[in-house]
Amino acid sequence: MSDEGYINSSTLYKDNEEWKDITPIYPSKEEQSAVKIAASQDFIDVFAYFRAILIIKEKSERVLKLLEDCVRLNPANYTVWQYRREVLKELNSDLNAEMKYLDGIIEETPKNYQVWHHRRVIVEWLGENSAPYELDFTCDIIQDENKNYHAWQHRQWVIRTFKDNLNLLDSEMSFSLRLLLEDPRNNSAYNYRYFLLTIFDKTEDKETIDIEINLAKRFIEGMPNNESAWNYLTGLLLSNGILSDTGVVKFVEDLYERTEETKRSSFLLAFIADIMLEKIDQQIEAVESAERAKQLYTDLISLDPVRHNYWKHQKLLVDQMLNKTTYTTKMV
Amino acid sequence: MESQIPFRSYDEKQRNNDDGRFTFTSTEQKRVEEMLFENYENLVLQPDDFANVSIFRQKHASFLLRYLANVPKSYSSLDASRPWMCYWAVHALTILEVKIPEETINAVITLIKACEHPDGGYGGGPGQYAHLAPTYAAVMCLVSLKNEKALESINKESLFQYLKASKHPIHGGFYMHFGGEIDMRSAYCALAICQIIGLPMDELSDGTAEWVISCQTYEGGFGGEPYTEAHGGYTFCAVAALVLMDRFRLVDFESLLRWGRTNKLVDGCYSFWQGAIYPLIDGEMEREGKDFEKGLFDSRMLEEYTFVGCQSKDGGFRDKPDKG
Repeated sequence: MSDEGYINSSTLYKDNEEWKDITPIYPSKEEQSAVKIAASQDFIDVFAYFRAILIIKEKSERVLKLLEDCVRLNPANYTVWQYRREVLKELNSDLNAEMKYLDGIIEETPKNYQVWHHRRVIVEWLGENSAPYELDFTCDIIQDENKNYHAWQHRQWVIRTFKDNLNLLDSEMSFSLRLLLEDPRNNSAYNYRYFLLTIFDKTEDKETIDIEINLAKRFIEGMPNNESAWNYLTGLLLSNGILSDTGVVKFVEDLYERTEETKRSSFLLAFIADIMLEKIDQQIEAVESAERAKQLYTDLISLDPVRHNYWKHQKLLVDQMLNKTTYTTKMV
Repeated sequence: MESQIPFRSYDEKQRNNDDGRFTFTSTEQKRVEEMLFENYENLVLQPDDFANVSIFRQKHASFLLRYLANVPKSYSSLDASRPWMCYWAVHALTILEVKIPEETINAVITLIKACEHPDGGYGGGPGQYAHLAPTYAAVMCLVSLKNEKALESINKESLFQYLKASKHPIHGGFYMHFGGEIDMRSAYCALAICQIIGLPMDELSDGTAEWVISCQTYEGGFGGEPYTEAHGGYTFCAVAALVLMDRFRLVDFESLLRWGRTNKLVDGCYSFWQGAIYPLIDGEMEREGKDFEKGLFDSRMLEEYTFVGCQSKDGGFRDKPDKG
């Protein structure tokens, strides 16, 4: 074989003719004085070139490739992603190609702050036409991991950002319902529903809230030990109070009666105790309600011993509330 | 046998009740419980070990001192978090009351100085952009060293400029780095740095309490930004930020006390995020002069979980038994 046919087998930048003009910056001895990571040769090589580029601020196609090597080695390096955005902007790069690249990276590291932030910025640059694809993409990620915080957060951001231009409430409610039917314990899906009601101004809309309350009741009926459904129900009644909905009060009292004493869920007992607290607050059968609340908290101490201090605290709260209301009554 | 305090956790009666209907969430929960009970039963079968369940002080100290010098290749993903690596180790050694050798202290100061950005703040490594999380770690680490040279190494002027420049111009949140994301971590990091260095909080906190409180959810915990799901880490950051600004009264306290990572799996790191909220609440109640029983959470049971589920025989802790 002739010399011309010789191919450099090294993939390192320091052996690459096209990068001869760059002087890499390797970590100094001082910089290795503590928590020195025994990084691979590849890692040291790539990041030495990145550090040099960051100083001279070169923005070029070859730098984009270098940055992809950096990401491959450490997708959590925020400086790499930030610099990548600076380069993409300068070069006026094809952002759809960037999204495609990012799809793969996120699928590999779906729990990484940097990749999701990068995605948010690119979508912002692309504008509302990219919204439908974002809904599909986050749907895929959530399908794989139904409580991926970043994916839900990204989806919320897309909805918030583009909600005025797209009619999304119904389809998004269906999306979260589908996930809740798959796993009624998926707390992220309830939070998403609550988010939708809030930003589409439905929290005071009686018809919508009644539908949601019925949904929560159905989920509780099927799984009384599912805390997510109980919290959702509490959340729906936050502004008007539980007593404002006699149907809910009747529902939980029925559930209490129907369930054998040893099989009642702690969330059921705590919810009824909350009703009692509201009654004390509104001076409705305050003394009797206080008695019942304290009995429920006593039951909770044995049913849920991990939180025994908390339930004891709630018992004290009952006395404090009762004292306050009787004091107010005397004053009037 | 020596009298020992019996475990109150690992109680069969407290196993997950799926109401006879399994889903992905309950299956995962049962899988983790199974692993934990297995660990627990192994300890019970060897009563000598069981009596000696305690912190492996020496093992952790050696692990941390080794870690402060060198870590293997598998830590490459922390190459943009090196001040964190220093702080984690220094903080843990401080809690263990281990004296850190002078040369190690000097090495840490040198490395952290190398991470300082010329325009203020610290990056995750030398040459990297400044970022509020490593800046927090760097400052807390230097302060924890209780060493003149460590404190002198902080450029307070440029640090304060950096903190101010990190603030969002309209709402009260903070950018993690220029061009970066805004979430609850940055608000806490910026305020905590400000407080511990003694920089003027008033010049930094305009609108921040209002932004923080807008992240409290219907469940009682806090999300990373408005409307997102309540989360242990963000809840600690939010409560601590409000306490630092003396604005804790904005919190819906009853729902905060009740909340606890609904239907999520156990994980060692939340021992801190969730557990550290309680001392903050205790301090706040005391400050407000309220009649309040301290220590609402059962620290002994958390200890039982941590020793059985997380502690490694070779030093160090893990999230849960199946994590490295």
